[in-house]
Amino acid sequence: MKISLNWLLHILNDPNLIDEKIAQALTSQGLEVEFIDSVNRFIDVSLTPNRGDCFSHIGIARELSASSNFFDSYKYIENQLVSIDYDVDLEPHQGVQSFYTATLSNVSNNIDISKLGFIHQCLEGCGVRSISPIVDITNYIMMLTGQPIHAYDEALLDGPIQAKINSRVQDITLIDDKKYQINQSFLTIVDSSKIIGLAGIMGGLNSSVSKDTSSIVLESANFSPEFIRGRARSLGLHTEASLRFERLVDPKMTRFALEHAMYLLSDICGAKVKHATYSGQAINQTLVSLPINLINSLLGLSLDTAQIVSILSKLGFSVTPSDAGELSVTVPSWRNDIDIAEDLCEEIARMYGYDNIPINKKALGSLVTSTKNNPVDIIRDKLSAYGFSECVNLTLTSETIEDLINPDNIKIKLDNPITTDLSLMRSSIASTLLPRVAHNLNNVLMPINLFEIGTIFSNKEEKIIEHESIGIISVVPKRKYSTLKDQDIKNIINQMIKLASIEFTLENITYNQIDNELFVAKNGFQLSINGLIIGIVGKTSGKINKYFSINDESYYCELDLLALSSLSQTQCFNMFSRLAEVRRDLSLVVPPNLRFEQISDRIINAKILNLKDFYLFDLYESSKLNNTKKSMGLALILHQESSTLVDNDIDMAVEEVVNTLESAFGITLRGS
Amino acid sequence: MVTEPDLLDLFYASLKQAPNIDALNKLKAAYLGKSGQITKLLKLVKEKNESERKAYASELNVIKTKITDACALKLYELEKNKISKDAVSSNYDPSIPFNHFKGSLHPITLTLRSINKFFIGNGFEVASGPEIEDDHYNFTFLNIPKDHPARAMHDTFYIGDKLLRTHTSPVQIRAIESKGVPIKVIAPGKVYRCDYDITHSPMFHQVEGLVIDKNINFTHLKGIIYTFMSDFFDRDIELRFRPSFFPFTEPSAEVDIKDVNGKWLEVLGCGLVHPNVLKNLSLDTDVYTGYAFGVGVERLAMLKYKINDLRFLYENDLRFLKQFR
Repeated sequence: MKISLNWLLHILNDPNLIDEKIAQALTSQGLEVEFIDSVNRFIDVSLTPNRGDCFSHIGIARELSASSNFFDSYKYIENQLVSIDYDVDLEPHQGVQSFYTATLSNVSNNIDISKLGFIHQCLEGCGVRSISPIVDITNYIMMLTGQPIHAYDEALLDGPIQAKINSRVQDITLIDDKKYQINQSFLTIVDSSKIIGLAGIMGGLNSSVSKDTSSIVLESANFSPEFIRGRARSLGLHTEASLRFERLVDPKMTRFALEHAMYLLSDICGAKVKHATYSGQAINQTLVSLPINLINSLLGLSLDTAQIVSILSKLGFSVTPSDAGELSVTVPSWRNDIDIAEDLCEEIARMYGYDNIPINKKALGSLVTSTKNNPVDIIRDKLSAYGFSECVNLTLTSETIEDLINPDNIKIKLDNPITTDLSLMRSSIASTLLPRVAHNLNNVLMPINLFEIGTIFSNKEEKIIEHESIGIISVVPKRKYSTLKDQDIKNIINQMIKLASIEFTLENITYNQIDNELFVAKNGFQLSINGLIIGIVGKTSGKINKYFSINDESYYCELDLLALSSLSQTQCFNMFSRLAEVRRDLSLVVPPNLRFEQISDRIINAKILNLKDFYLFDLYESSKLNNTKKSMGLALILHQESSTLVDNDIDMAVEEVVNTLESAFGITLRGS
Repeated sequence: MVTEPDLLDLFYASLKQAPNIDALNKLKAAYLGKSGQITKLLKLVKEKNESERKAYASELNVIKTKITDACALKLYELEKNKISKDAVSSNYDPSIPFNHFKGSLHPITLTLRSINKFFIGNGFEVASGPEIEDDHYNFTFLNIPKDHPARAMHDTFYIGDKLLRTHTSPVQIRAIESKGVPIKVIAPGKVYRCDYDITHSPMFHQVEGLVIDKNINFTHLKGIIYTFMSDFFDRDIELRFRPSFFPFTEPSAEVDIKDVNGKWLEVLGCGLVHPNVLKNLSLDTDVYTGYAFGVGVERLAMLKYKINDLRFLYENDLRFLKQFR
C-alpha cells in the first residue's frame, strides 16, 4: 500500500521523523517497507493479510507511534465531525455488522478545484487519481481511516437503501461500466426496486454520482469478512473496498468516518445534511487471557508484567491483571487478527524486537535419523560423470506435446492454467526434456546429453498416480565431438540398472520390441528384468525429431525409479578363481537386423565349456560391408576353475562359439 | 686359495668395460656359460679330496654369486641408459585432452543437496509426499480456511477437487500423522503457484522444516536458522528477523540476509507452529510446541551462485548447465 510521507508526518505532527527511520521502524515491526520514494514522498508498505488495521494512514500512524506511545485515531478526527441523530433500525441483517447512511442535499460536485487543495495533495501523495469532489472526499476518508464510503446519486434511487443477500443469479453493471453475473453468495446493496451495488466491492452504474449530482446518499458500512471474501476475486475484481473488507474494517470507525465525510462535504461542497440512518449490532469485544509464563517460555525471554503491559498499552490493548500470573487483555476493535494468547506473544515479540531475542544453539529433542544414501543421488552422480547434464523443467506441458508422446493417455488438465503451453501435468519426462534438446541444438555446438529426474503423472481408474521417473536423451551428432558412439547409450542404460545395486549381467535384462510414438518402428524396446518392467529405450522417431527440430540421430530412455529401487539389494562378494583368464577376440560379420541381445542369448544358452564371459568391444556398420552386414568385435573370456587352460581347450571353446553363431544366424568370421 | 687369485679382478675389469647388453651377455657366458670359467672350475669339485672339497665348493659359490649379482647390476645400468636415451627421442604430450565431455548437476540439485546435508546432520529426517494434494492437507489443516485472504498468498492451480500443492507443508502434516511426535523433519520438493513472470515461476522448489517437541521456543528457531544460513553461504552471516504473517505459525517471522553490498534480501519464512495446527493434529498444546520454516530453493541457489535471472534455472541451456559440476 502506498503511504504518503507528507500526510503521515502531518498526522503524527512529529518533525523529527525521517524517511529511513520510518521505513526501518515499520519493517522491524512487521510492516515491510518495500520502497521509499524520497522525491515523490511516499513509501510502499507490504501488508500481510492479518493486518487490515493498517490499510490507512491513521493505521500506519498508530503502528508507528506504538514504539513510544499510543496514538488515538478517533481523537485525531473528533473535532471535524457532524453530529446528528440517526433513525435506528435494530433488525439484524445477515452479513452486516453496521450500516450507516446519510442523505445530503445541495452538494456541488462541480466546484473550484483549489478548495480541495489539501485533499488532492493527500490523494496524489498515495497515488489516488482525482475524479470529482464527492468521490475524492470519499476516497480521502478511506485512505485516511480505512473505512470505504460510497456515495449514491439520490435522484437515481428509489427509496431507502439496505444490504441484502442476493436472491437469484442476475447481471449487474458496476461503475467500471462492465457487466457482471452474480450468484446467491453475494451481499448486495438495494433500494426499493433494484440492486445498486455489491457490498464491500463496488457500487452500481445505475446510481453513481455525476458532475450534475446535487443530492447524495452516503453509505458507511461494516460487513462481515466471510460475506465478502472470495466474491470480488470470483468476478475477476480487486477493489480498494474489497481489499479492506476481506480483512476487516474497524467497526468502531464506521460512524466516525461517515461523520467526518459529512463534515468535509459540508465544508468544501456546501452540502446540507438532511437525515441519517443506522442499523446494526453492538460491537463485540474480544478478551484474551494471557499467562505471563507462556510469553517467556515461547519467546525464551524473561519479561516482567510491567514490560508486557507497557508494550500492549501502546498498541491500544487494555490490560488488567486477573488470576496470578495471568493478564486479561481487551483487544481493540481494529485488531480482529488477535484471538489467542499466542497472537499476543507475537505482538510482544515484534515490539520487543525479533532481533533482540537470543539465539540458542542447543539442540533440543535430538532424534536418531537414518543417513542412508538416496539411490537417486547415486544415479545422478554417475550420469553426470558419463557426460550427461541434469535439467530441471517445469512439470507442466502442453496438450500438443502430450498428444505427440502419449496419445492414448488420459490427460491430467489444470482447471486454471496460465497458458496453454503449461496446461497439463506431464505423463513422461520426454514431454519436458525433448523441448530442451531443440533449444540446445539451436544454440550450442556440444554433444547434447541430457537427463532429468522428477515426478510424472498418470490417471488410472479415476485416480491420479505420481511416480518418480528418469529420462535420458542423447543426440548422436553428425559432427563427432567425442568418442561416444550410439551403442554407448545402451551401455549407459545398463549402468543405470547396475547402479540400482542389483547383481546385473546382460542376461538379466529383456528387450521386448514395442510400438511407441517416441521411437522408430522396430527400434523401440521395453526393458524388463525378471518380468518387471523397468522402462523403455529406443531411437526417436522421425515425427518426434521433426516436431522438436532434432536433425541428428537421437536415443531416448526412460526408467521407472520405483521399479529400479525395488530391484535394489546389497551387493555381496563372490569368490573368484586365482587362475589366469585367457582372451580370444572374434571379428564377426553379422546381419544388420540382428541385435546383440540375440547373439548374447544364443551363446549363453549354448553353455559352452570354459567360456566364462564375453563382451562386445567394437561395432562397425558401413556400406563397405555390402550394406547388408555389420561387424562386431566380440571378446571371449575363457577360464577354468581348477586348472590352467591348455591351447586345445581354448580352441575348442572358440570353435564352439563360432559354430553356434554360424548355424543360428549365418554369422561368419570376417575375412573367412 | 683354491682358484687363481686374479679371476675376480679380471672379471670386474672386463665388466667395467662392457659397452652394451650384448657385450655383457658374452662376458657372462665366458664365466657362467656351459664352458665358462666358473663352470669348468665347478666340474673340478669332485676331483678334490674330501678335506678340500667343501671349502673349494663354498669359495666357488661365493664367486659365482658375486659374478651373477654384478652382471644383474650392470644390466640394470645399461637398461637405464637405454630408457633415458629413448625418453629424449619420444614426444609424449600430457596436455592432449581426454576426449570425454563432462556432465553436470543442476544448481537446484546442488542446492537441495547442501540443504539436506545440513539438516540430516542435525538429526532431521527427509520426507516426501504427493505434488497433487487435497485442499484439506494443503490449506485447512494448516489453519488456512476457505476464502481466507491468506489464500491470496497462494495462487493455486486446481485439478477438479484436487490442487497442486502450494508448499511442502502438507508433507510435514502427513509425516506427523504417520510418525507422531517428537519429530524433526524437512520436506524438500516441487511446489506450484499460479504466477508467471520474470521473478516468478509456476513451479519452484521449497524445503520446509518442522520440529515439534517439548520446550521448543523462538530462540531455538533462531539458532537453527543462523547456523544453517552460515553453513549454506559458507561465511558469517548477518540476518534480520522481521515479524510477518503465516496462518500456520504464530509468532511468524520473515528472515532477511545482508548481502555483500549491505542490502537486505528476503530468504526464508518461519515461526512457532500455530496452536490451531497442533490441535488439528490432536497434539496437546500445553505439552508440545514447535517451530517451522520454509525456504525457496531457487532463491538460495540464485544467491549462492550469483545467478541474476530466475529463468536460467528452467531454460536448461547447456552453456548454463555445464558450469555446475
